[in-house]
Amino acid sequence: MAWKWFKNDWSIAGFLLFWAQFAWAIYLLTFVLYSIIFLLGILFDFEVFTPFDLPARFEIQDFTELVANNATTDIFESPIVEINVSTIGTDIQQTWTNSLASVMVLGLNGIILYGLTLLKRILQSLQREQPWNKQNSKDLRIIGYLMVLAVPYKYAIGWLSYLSIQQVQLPESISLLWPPIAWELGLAGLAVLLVAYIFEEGTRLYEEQKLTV
Amino acid sequence: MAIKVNLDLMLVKHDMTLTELSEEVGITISNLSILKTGKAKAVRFSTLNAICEALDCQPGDILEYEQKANGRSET
Repeated sequence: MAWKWFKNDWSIAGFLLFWAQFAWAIYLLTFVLYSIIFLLGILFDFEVFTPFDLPARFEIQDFTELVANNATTDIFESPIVEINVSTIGTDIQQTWTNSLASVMVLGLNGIILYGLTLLKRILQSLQREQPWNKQNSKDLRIIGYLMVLAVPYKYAIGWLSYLSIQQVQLPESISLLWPPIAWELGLAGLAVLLVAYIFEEGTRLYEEQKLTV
Repeated sequence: MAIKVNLDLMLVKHDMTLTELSEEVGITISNLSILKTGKAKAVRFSTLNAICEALDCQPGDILEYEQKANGRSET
């Protein structure tokens, strides 16, 4: 079925729908798989209690010494790197911070999954060439709110990760930084809310035009 | 809507069916039905003109403002 429309439909909506379906399937699989691992971890007290990697931001001093190349002196003077830290098999102790961070990362995956479900529904209506309906503007508004609310949510995850990783003794040249704020996501969310408002107005005008004799 | 459409009344007066009116004014039955049942949000002057011509009446014969019991009209 999916292959059929992929072969025949080369519209932008069709192309985006394909990727939305693909991303949705990946997130669904990840969500289900990690939920099972997480629940098993809680039930049987496995070491793998925190299945998700925790996001963290580090500043590495004297990076040039690490890469051992003089040509990079100015480039890597004080680089800041953002990486996901795996808690499995490390010195990070199992505390409420990384457990909560892990639950919240799982929740974030759930939110993304829900957002993708709504996006799929919007793209399907676009593909059917029936974009002007109340459901679309409502779905877009929900996606916008989710994106805006994801900013403090992600920041909270960052803080919990920070508190978890802080307990590990890091080399002197590496310092753990405060988590970043995902401003871009918030701004994109506001843009989506604006589009949702435009959609709402468009739907109202469309319905009015449809009921004009 | 506080505006009442008396199209059915005018059709009875002129002994005409909705299909006949539709053929005469060149508007689809579904659109006339929307107008007759009061679901319409707006009426074009051209539509009103065609209906008045076909039924030999004034716009006021088709449209009527109905005051609500509490004195306020619905929007």
